[in-house]
Amino acid sequence: MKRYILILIILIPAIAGYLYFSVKSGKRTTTTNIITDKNDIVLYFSSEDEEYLVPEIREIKLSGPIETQTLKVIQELIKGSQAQQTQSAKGLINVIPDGVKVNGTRLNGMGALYIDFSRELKESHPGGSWAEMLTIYSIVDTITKNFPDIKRVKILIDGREIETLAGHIDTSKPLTKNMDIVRIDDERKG
Amino acid sequence: MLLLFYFNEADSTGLKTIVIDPGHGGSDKGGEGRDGILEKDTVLQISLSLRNKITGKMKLNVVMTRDKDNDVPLEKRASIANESNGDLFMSIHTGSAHSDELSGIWIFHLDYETVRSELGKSDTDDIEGDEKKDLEVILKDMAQSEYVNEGARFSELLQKNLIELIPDQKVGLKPIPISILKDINMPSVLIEIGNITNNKDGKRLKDKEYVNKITDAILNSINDYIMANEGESSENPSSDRDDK
Repeated sequence: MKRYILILIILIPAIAGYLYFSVKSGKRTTTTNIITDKNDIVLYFSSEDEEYLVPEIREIKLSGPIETQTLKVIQELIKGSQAQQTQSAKGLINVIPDGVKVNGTRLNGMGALYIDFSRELKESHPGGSWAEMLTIYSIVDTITKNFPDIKRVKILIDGREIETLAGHIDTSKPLTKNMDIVRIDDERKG
Repeated sequence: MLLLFYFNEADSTGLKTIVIDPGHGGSDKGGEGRDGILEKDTVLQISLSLRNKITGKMKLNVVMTRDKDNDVPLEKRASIANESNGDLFMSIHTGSAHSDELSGIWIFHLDYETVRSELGKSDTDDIEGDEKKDLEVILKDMAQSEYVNEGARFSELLQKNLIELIPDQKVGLKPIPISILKDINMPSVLIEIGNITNNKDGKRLKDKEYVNKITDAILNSINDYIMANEGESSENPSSDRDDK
């Protein structure tokens, strides 16, 4: 009897130890897998005073062809900022109007990405020149920042080219990045 | 030499014609205030007041890109301005921000980098014809650079005069690639005289005293611009005038 008890005393911690490290090891493996499947992407939203764009870092899963990845990134941009308002940093403003959907993206042979939005991007836009700049370059800078091989971005509305989004800024041609409008030292974590 | 005495104020600086461009119009209503006030109506009314003030007080011609509530495409506005051989182009708008809480006046002008990058862009993704356009682009680039510098200079005068007359209003100034300004062959600015979506600014835009201050500030800026140019002319007498 004493022998069985002795065996149990030895076995129980051994089994417990095996289980503990197995679970811990399993957790570590799972975590590692998630991290490798996710990417830190940069999304640009407006500062509260609407003076400039501010980068927000968000971790999302990206995979598949470039059109799928760019579509996912724009969908994240449309969701708006998730950065928490703190005492030192105020919330960021989404410069894509409510109700806007992205119909699709397509890369042409010249490295320009065409992004097709629903009509709300134009119809629900507030209309000021600077507000228009913020909207356009939140889209253009988000794409060119996360996909460096894409140098130019063209905005379409329901499959059609538009001269301007709100009457002031030329969107008839693909646009290149504009980092003058970005305040990098105010980066947020989403 | 005697002819010099007959040059009026505008002639002596080369400033003869001001082009006023009331933004939007017709089916394009522009921004809209919470109380239904429309940008296209507000800017037309203020532009007409400005025209009357300029023609009443200064020896300058004024050309309007529209003087009623009608659709005028951007390219038509540019051709009206360019065909009038205008010397200064002012596009009058109200502003709108993403947040209704923001108020303020904005002055926008082109900067040289913007113009150069825009001129360097291909119209299409077919770049075969680019070399043929080089000369055209370079010549336009040379002409535009002077307009850009003058537009920036006039914008700074506008900011100074607006702050002076409306000290409780934020007056911002930024170089941005405004579509209408890129096709204008003269110094140009776009002024947003208040955020129509903001309650405080919406009320101000209907207030005659506020509108008067806006038009006075613009008038003072034109005067300052003329005087600054006169100063430069007297320091560097124009060969054109000597020839006359």
